[in-house]
Amino acid sequence: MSDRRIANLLDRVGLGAGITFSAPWEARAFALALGLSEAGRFSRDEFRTRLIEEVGASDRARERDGTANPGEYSQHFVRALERTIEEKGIVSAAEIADKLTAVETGG
Amino acid sequence: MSDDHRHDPNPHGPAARVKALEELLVEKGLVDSARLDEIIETYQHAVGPRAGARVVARAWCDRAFHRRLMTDAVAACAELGIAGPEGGHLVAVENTARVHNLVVCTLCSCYPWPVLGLPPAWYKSFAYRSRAVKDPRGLLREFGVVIPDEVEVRVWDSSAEQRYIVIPERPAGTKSMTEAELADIVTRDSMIGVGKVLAPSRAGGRRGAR
Repeated sequence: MSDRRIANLLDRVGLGAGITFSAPWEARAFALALGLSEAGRFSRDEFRTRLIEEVGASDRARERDGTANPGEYSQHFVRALERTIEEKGIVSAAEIADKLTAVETGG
Repeated sequence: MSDDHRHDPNPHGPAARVKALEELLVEKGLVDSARLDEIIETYQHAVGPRAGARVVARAWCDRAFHRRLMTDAVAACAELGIAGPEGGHLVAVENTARVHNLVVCTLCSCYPWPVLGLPPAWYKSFAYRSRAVKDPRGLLREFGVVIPDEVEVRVWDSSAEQRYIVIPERPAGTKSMTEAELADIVTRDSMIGVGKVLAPSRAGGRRGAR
């Protein structure tokens, strides 16, 4: 529970209180998920189903091998978002892969 | 299940992946960057636990509102102009001398946005999600909340169908406080069930901090 204790400590001294997102990409991912559901591209329940799958797979792995990485939740969120986007045919996996290459090489 | 090992699915790193997704979706005209900025601004600043604190303070001061809140929390919050995404199916659960309520989402991060804003990082952590159910009293001790043996701890697992707000106990020595003053001492943690509301003299410098 050391991550919890640190979070608690930060809260006690007022640092953790206002933190909603710990990195800008977490906020962008959240906004993309909400924005796409607002636009009717998928329902919040459709997204939540994928999120629960991603979180659940990670939880089962942790229960088995005891690994813990408190920052992982946001990565599950991104993976769930990608899967939902692909499955709903909004953007294909190939398009995402191409764009990712462009983003990374373009700096 | 070998499937379980998908928990590290981002070889390129999440920041790059999110950037790629946003660029693609914007190019296709499916999302608008300005709207994304607006969403982030709203959930970082406008929506937060102060709304829930107003609900709690009103319930402490107004018996009729309290009754309506416990019967239909969605309608009662709407009376105060509080509504929005993830706010449907809201249920208020009340702490008493005999019952302490604790809220978790064991499967993901369901949380009542309109009253509490977005959940803190620890609420989404494996440690919190697993321990809230297995060892709620031990978990609460880590938050500095010791629940006597004779007090029942009720753990509420949030879902798409049901979200919860804890109505904490009104602290002793607050009879002369106004509703607005009371709202200032209600903390986010107390509405999740991992904290208690303290009267101002004891809350000291932490007053209204969360």
